[in-house]
Amino acid sequence: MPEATVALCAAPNTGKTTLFNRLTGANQTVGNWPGVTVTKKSGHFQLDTHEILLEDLPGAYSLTSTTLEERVTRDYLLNSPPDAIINVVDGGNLYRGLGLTLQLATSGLPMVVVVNMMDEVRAKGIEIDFDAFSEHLGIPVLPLIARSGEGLTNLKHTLLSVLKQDTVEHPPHISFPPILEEAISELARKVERQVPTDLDQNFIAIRLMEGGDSASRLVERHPALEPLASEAMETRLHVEQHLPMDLPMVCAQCRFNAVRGLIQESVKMPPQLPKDMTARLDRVLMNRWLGLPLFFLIMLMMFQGVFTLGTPLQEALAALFESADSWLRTTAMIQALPELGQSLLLDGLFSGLGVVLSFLPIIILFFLFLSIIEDSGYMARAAFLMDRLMHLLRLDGKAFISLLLGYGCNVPAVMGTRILSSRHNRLLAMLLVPFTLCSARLQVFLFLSAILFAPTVAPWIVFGLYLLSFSMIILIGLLLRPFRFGTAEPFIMELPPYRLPLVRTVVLRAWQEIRDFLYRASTFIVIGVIVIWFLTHFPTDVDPGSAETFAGKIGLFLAPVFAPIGIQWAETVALFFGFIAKEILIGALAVIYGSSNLAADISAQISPLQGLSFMVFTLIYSPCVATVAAIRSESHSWRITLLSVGMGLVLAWLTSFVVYQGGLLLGFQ
Amino acid sequence: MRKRHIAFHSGQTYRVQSLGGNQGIADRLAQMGILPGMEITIVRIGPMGNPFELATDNGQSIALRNTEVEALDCKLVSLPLIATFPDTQQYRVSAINGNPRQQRKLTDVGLRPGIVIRVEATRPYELRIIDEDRLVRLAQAEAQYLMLQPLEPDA
Repeated sequence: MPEATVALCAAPNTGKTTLFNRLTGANQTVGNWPGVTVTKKSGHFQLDTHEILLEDLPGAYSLTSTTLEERVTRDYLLNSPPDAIINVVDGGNLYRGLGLTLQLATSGLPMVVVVNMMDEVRAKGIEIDFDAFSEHLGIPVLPLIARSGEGLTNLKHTLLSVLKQDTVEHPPHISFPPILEEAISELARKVERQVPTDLDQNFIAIRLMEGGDSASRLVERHPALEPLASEAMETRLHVEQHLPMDLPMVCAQCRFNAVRGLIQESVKMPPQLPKDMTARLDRVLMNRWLGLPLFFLIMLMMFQGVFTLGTPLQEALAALFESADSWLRTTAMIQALPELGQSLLLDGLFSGLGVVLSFLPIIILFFLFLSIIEDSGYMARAAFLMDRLMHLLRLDGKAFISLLLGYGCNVPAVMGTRILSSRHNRLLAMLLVPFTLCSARLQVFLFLSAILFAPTVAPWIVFGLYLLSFSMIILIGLLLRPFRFGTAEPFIMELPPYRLPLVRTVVLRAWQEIRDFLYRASTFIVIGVIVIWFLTHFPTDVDPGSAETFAGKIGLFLAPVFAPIGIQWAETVALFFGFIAKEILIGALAVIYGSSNLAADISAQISPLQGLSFMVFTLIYSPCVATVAAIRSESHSWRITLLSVGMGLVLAWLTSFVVYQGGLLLGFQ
Repeated sequence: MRKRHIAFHSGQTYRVQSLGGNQGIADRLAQMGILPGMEITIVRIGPMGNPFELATDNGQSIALRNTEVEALDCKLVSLPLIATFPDTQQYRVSAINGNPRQQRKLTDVGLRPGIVIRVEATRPYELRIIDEDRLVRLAQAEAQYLMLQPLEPDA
């Protein structure tokens, strides 16, 4: 047997990802499904002597798709049926997952069902008769605890025999109203005559009658089905005249009736379910009065944790880079290079990347905390609590989490908008995220406010910038309120039970984010750093960073625009480069001033009020290149991308103007 | 303006008659297995009145906004006394929740599942037991444990 493809398919919150991580370990690639921004994960594992490709399909309740994720899953199964399916269901709530299981089971594809979270099932006193379950479903059903790995060996054995087709599967029959049943089997007979396929003909017949994308996917793969697709639509219209509801609704009714029957045959519930931890925790965490304060407290602790742990690490890393820099300057290899090469390597690449990479601890911690919040189930609660407020901006509660992510780094925040449920929500959140005060901007603010303001004032300046960021988001949200981007989708959010986050999952997730960040650092930011170095070091016959360099000329050219907001040519040049990555603003200032003591130079050149105006501008003006790229790839729209950049520039100038001129009027310098 | 007997309140249980006119919500709920005939209970209402956490009789827990809840065609089948208003509406006591001590406070005044009452005043509560034509007073603390089933006006 050559390499086989196995698809992992389940409703959301069934422990699918935990099982995926168990099976593949760190052997994963993460990307996007073609054409859409839904995360695609695949990995490899060894089964006996065979190499298995495992595809993690997006969470879906049904193949009769209503969400983007469900469409991706359905298209994958219809376009490129895998050699086998592993379907995961949550043992504590079988009803929820078995609707999909039945649809998958009738597809005719080889399949194994795993009932996950058996530890919780046992604790609740629920008894599952696996023999009866397998018997009724016609497919192997196995117990599993993905968290501990119990049942994994058994799953692998069964998967192997399913792949070798040692086990005979006899898919279950779901009974429909007679008129529908007849229509389906008539269509199925025609399908069977038209195309030989790995999918069950009844399954195809139902998909054709569903019409829309389901039918077009099938016709794409089997053009011979084209006439049957239009026939199916006619049949559907005819059948629906005799049914009380439309076809998908009738199918769902029948499917879940079958699910109820299946549960009755194979599950014994205890007379009374024990009061679970989730209900008890929610009484406090979701309390009408306590919920929001506790949420803000948790957020505050997260940010405190990130920065109190991260800042010393960051400083240590920066110091390490600095001493490495001075050591490198003494090495023979570097000294053998021509002067320009030395400068490019050390002043350009090494110092620029040093600045960016010293951010790593903060980003790592941020994602660790975030995946803990996400994995524990608290994320949905946060969305619940914030929904009313976010709805004022025509967003849902989940958008708050995207915005929150922005306070760490805008790029993952923009990427994270894909958790939102409609295009409108995604685009609106994407436009708001760049106004969050990300950790890169925070570095600039911490550095500048410490230099320009007294130690007692500086924290209030940074706090004020946070407040400005919140106000900007609310203001722009209200400004964009009249606009509708695409159709609105209903707000339906599941509240999963609380679970202790798994170290393995949290670490893997954080690692993937870090890999992304390092990738960006090694591409965008290297290019950015080289561009700065070039503009500030050429032409070669003048002092680096002086007004005669290319950068200086650009700054002087733009000076009339920036004069009313108190920003001088040197900072203008720095802002220009801050577009490449905001964290290199300070580094750029250092290069432009050509100084060995940046702090002294800055306090000599910039007044506190000018500095404040500069910080306000830095907060609001167009997002960095990496964020812009993320907005472009997530929105698939240049208009939205340009709107984001343009809106930022205009609002930044206006706000800085108010701050600077207002400050001058009040008599500040 | 239509006078509403009953406002949304946590503890109310509704039977879904049909998934209503909003196709987007109806389709999505149906595919999640939330279908006509099912009972859903309002577990809690979010801060500032929105969204709602709903529990289905199959143990699912979902959040919806009130506009989406209102779009469903539902029939109120059970509610706690705390969610009622003084009215001519008659209720049958369907259950008495709470711990044994709280339950006793309610049974001591003669309330038990099956009897029919009318709410004459709230906070504090005055209930008229229809068959005995007797008035019962209850403190607010007990009102959340008495579960009532609204009766059809002509029944």
